[in-house]
Amino acid sequence: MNKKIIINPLTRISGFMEIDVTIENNQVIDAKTKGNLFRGFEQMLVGRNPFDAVYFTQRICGICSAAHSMASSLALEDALNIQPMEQGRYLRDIIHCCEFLQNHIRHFYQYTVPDFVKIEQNPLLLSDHDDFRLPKAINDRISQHYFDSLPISRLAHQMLAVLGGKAPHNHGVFIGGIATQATAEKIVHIDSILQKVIQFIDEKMIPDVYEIAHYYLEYFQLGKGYGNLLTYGSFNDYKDLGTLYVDPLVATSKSVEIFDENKIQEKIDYSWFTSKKSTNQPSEAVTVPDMEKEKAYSWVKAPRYDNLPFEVGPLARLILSGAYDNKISAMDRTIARAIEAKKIAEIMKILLQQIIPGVDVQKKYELPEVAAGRGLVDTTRGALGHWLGIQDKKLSFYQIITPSTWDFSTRDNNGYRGVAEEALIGTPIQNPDKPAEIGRILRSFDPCMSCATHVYSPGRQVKTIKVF
Amino acid sequence: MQNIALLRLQINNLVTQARHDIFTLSNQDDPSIKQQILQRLWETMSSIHFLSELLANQAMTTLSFPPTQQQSPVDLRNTIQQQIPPITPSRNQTSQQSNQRTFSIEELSNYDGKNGRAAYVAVDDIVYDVTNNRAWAAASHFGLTAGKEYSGEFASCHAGQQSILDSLPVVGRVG
Amino acid sequence: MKPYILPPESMTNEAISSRLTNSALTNIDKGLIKKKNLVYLELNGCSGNIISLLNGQNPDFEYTLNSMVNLRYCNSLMASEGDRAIEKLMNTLDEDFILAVEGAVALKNNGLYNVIGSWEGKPLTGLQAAKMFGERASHILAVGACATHGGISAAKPNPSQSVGLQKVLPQKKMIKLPGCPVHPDWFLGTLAHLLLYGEPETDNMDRPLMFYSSLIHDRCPRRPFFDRGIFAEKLGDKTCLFKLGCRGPVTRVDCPTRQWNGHVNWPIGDDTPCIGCAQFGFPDAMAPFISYDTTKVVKNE
Repeated sequence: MNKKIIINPLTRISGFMEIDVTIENNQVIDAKTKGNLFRGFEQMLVGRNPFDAVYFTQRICGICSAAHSMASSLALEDALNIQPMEQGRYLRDIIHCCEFLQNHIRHFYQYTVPDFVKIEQNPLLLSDHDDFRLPKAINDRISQHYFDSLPISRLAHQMLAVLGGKAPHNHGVFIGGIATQATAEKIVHIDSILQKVIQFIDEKMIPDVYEIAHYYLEYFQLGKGYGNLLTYGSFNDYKDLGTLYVDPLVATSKSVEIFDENKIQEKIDYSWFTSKKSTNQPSEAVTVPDMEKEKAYSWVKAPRYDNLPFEVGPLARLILSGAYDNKISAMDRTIARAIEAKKIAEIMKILLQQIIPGVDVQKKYELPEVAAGRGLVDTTRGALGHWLGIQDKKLSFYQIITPSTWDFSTRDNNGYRGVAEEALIGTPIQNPDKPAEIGRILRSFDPCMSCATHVYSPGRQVKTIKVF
Repeated sequence: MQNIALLRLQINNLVTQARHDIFTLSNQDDPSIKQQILQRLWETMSSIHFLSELLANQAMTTLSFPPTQQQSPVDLRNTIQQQIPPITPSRNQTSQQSNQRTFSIEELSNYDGKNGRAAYVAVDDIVYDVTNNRAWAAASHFGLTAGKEYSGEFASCHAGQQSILDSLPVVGRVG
Repeated sequence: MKPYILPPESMTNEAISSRLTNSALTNIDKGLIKKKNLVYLELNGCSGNIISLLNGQNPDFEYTLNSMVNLRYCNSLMASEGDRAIEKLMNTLDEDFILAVEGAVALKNNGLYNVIGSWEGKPLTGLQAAKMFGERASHILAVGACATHGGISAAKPNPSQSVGLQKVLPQKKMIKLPGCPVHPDWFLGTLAHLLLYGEPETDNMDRPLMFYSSLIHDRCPRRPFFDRGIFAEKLGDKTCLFKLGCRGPVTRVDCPTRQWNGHVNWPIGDDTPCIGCAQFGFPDAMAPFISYDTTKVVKNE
């Protein structure tokens, strides 16, 4: 007999998500991820001053705001045909690194750890389920690290603010690189904070994730998904440094290929939209809400590459860069995030060494009457893209595909579920009353629903039926 | 509001500033500071120009009165002061303003603050210069762009705050 | 038992809020104040305010969590999920609690544009939660631009019909803390004041005077440039950013002195104009943020 489990809200994520899971014989046979908040950024941006987009789009998300300022700046550079100086790229990428560090530390300790570690210092932080397996000494140590990590993630944002003005929602990232100039004092300031962050990652974060992995080995088999990985490239293509992390690549079980942006499609088969075509290229997607649409169940669209669903994120990047054995699972994703934090810190050290103090990368920019551009950047949660169009010197079009749209997409008419939905299929649920497995697998993707559901869409009376 | 003494004071202040800037410029080597001073001189010249136009217009108005009043500067001044209403806020200064520059709505729309143009706004048919007004960064104020008429908006947002308008330089009226 | 403030104690905003929070902590330790319950609702927004709170240093978030308030509900941080989380939320209704709301209230489709959970088999909308908890809270804090006046969530054309919290609780007195995001000190300082002394003095728009008193323009270190008409023409310049669109002259908050992230920097210090994020009307009334065509160019002869 089918049972339905609904978790609403899935807490310890960014934004609001509901997960509907159907189980039979205590195994998941179907799953639907639903984004539950809507603001409509793509509509809000139309008619605005194009330069404002860099600051405006940051407000899509509070924990990854720098990522949107990056993508927006890149899209504007593309549209205005501006090649930033290498110094500008380095400085901007340093700000981006700080956002990575802040996010990964907070995601692991504040969002993930309570799923596996019994934190008794505060009732708010104690999970509902009973599946705590860590021996007391290790459990208590990681509990303490939950609190020790707070000053460290704070420092990551402090580093960001040295070049970015403030965090969250920084001011520094802009066309050309960053607004201000680096100074010797700022570089040393950042480097000294970076030392502390690296020390924390080495001494606490990475050992902690492996400790947890050791006691929850089955999570190496759970939450696989389709096994297709995608990255737009990360910290790559520098004139003098080459690629510090990973080139734009896609991998299926059959092959690894160079990423081709023309193969990105956005499908709306099961999303509450209609459009002339149900599959669109991001630069042409103009969708209209349709609340009467049959089968539709979410406001998140379904990005596909070459008609297939792809996973994005730290695991995808690490595997595609060759730095991680080719295993895909919930636990691998969590470990990958910690390893990537270390990798990003190292990249940041290299970039800092390239900085020449006092270089002004800013110009007085002019807006063209008509233009179009796109900015693709791999960021904290994975591949992020902004597509924009300018008419009469104002934004005429803006389309955003966030990493969480890739990972938490709806299904499509070709029978492919969304990546996270597929990852849940086959998961054995020990206790349907307290299904710890679902949250653990979904959080391994680092969901950001504020990002995934920015699109304009209608509300619909959602009946949540619980059948136990 | 714009009586002769006030206009004269303003022009004299601007001339002093311009003289000081020319002096600084003559001793200046740094090109970026030179640019800034030149920019300020430019704006000072524009302001002097407008004020001298206003002054000339007002002088012409009073000169068109009976000849007895043209004989001595002292008498001229007294007459002008009798004929010009006090500075207290009043919107019925038609006699004074009939010779100021008039703007049509289309002309006004050119003064949007962009690409080197000044920023003007009109309230109750009087045109004000907000180019350097601190509340009008990027020639915009709470979503309103310069070069337009905002009598309704002013009345609803700044009811009873006539003093705001009194502190703005007047450049003409809508007609 | 208001302590006297005698010279030579510093009277800067930072020092005042530091003293406040320290004495709040001391009094809690002495058992003179009871820890109050705090319900933190995230509604239609980016959840940036809770991230900003995690960046707090005076006091920091750990102290707030452990020593100042019992945080009873917070979507971003709480371990409970699904029904059990909502149960914990509902349990606070009959108790004494302070309500902090970030994010706007989405009105479209009866609030279904922002569903924060499931309750009794039906979607629990942000609208419902705002009203339910707003009615019973002992104090209400509207945290961040979206909760105070709609903010970015309500930007034209406002597809979700989002509004500020006051619109759905018109009769309720609430303290408004605009900012995008709110500075952790503004929130935690106000909270400390509430615990120690009750409601802080607010202006006629319900903003605590401790933080939202003078204009950024009046405390801006670049003011001498403004006064002498020396304006920047692009980002990165060290002079007055007015011509690029700086909203410092119309924004009333203490950014120039408090600065951000442990006083390391702030937008104008980063050579970018203020975009008025802590003023009512952000973002539409503060647009355009960056303009290059309103600076005057002096051509060399």
